[in-house]
Amino acid sequence: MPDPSEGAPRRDAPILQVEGLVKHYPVTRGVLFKRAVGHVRAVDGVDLELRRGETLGVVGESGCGKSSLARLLLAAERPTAGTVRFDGRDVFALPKPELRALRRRIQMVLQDPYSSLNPRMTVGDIVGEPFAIHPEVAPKGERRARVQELLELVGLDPGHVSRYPHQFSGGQRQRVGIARALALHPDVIVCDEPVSALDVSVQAQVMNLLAELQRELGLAYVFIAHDLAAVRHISDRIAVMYLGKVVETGDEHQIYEHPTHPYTQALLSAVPVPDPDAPGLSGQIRLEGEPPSPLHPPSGCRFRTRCWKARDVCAEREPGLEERDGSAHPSACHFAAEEALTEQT
Amino acid sequence: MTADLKDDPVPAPRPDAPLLAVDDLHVSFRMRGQDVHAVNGLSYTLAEGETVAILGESGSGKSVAAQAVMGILDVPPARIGRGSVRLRGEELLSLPERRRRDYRGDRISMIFQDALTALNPVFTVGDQIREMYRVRRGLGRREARDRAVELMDRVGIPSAARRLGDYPHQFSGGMRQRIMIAMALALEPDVLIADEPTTALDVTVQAQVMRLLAGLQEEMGMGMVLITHDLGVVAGVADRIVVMYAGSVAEQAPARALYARPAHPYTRGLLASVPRLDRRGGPLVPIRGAPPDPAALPSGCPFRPRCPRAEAICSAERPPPVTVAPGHTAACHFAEEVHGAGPE
Repeated sequence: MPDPSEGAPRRDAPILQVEGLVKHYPVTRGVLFKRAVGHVRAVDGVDLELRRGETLGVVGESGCGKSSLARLLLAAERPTAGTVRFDGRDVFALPKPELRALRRRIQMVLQDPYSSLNPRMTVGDIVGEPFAIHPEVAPKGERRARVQELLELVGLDPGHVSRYPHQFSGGQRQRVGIARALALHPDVIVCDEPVSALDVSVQAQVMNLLAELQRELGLAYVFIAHDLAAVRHISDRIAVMYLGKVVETGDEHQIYEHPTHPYTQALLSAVPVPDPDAPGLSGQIRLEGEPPSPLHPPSGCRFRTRCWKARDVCAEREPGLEERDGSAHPSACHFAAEEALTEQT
Repeated sequence: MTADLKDDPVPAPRPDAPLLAVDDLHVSFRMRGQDVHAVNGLSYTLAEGETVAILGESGSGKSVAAQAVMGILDVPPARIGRGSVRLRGEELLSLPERRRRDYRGDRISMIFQDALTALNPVFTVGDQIREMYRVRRGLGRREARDRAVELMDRVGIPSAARRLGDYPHQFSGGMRQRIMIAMALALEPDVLIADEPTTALDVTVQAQVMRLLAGLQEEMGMGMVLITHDLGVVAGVADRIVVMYAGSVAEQAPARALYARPAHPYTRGLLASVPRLDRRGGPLVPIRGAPPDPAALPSGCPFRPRCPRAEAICSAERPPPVTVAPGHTAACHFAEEVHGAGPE
């Protein structure tokens, strides 16, 4: 990888650039005199890049920090350390008015379309609400027409603008959420588990919609999900997280066909495939135990307590996320190497 | 329970009868003066050591049907309109509640998606497991404790003896699921109903729990009814699959046949709409629309409004199950053609 050179931003320069991002939440004891007794290391040193028009999938199990990462990317919280650059500018160093202007360009779609839409507002008001905060995007007289355009864009009937969320199905509500995210012409949409609350037969509709909108509008997505199959389907590049860190990153083919980090390998082999002839339970890499608490992550490599390759060095030295002899893409394992994933019994 | 069984009188238990036979089960709920039909004629049988998966989306009636089989539906508002549930030939629906209670846990047992709500938060897990041995098996304190430790060991809870005094919230999600499994299997039932047992778990923990269930099933030879929406989980463990849609059985087949040659457009649609981990295909082919409201089912075939092959007959007549191969039926007017079309 060449060093990013100084000077004018290149055309393929990343729209979002995350460096050394850290977010620790204090755990406090005491009512009157609160004192921190420890820190939950939700995000603990993450580097990421999102290019224009691409989809970056972020996968990991619950507690790995993927949703905390989403909140930081949206500048909804300040990081403990590290930077997020949007279009080359450090988001957390911006003066308030500029941060506000920037927020227009990065939007989000949430998991639960039942709780993320105000039940007392009409769909038209929900989708048009962003215009109240950023009036420069659509003048007052044009807002209704713009909202109807947005509804049409996400495959809803523009005539339903005066309906309430409960009159829509789960999949349609998620479309409303997407229309709201699109209202301000963003460059980036952070999708946090956007389909996991939907019925199986409806998930594909929403995933296809996201893909179409990306082609039409040139959007970049950060697609955060625990469903590895969905992430593979929609992502160009993928980052695998474990206990607040990215353990492996690469393009879709590298991660799913040639994973080199033991955690990625175990994760992929644990996913049940809808095919009775697939290796199934017997062909899995058996991962024992559950992720340790992010309050007290293990020394060295965080995965070593569950890893079958762990040796002394893993407890002593933390492996960096880098290309290695056994891995053509960045992998944070001292012994990164491909492994035959489907050992039959 | 007042199921009006219009069929023959209650047959006596027969050792040669299937382990569990559910026949034409109908369950409805009385809501706002209207009958909502949650289950409209579910039939399946389960043999020893066999796993039958009931596959369906939310609102398909799969959980309600399981609760009816288990005898834990609140009646009213629920009403079991018709049908029969036989355990080794013995009709359960007409049993007095006292007898049914004796069967629950002992003969037929159930685990749920969310162990945190299924376990009692104010008693230690040791209390909850011990209580079963004491009440149902009449064991003494010490013996009940030993059995509880043994059982927790068996479901893979580390340092079981020490953790007997812990409360449910002190365990992780996967460990709680193991405790619930331990309680369900404590009395060594013949049938285990597992309602979305791994849906709330992370994928590596899900694999652990499924392995545990498969191992225990083999050890104990029990039959398992696995209720899930996950086409992947089903493929790995089920011998036979019952696909439910809007309260009815859309298709029923041996697992391999169902995936290889689905005979119902809904099953076909489901398989085409899920992204696959093992390959990156083209665009997904979604099923249009959304599942119907059980209070307002369409006429004829319930899948008709979403079906790509629907014709006039589909709204006029409810399709009966058509046998397309031995043990493989589909409730579709065009089942033969869909089945004949082969794999995608």
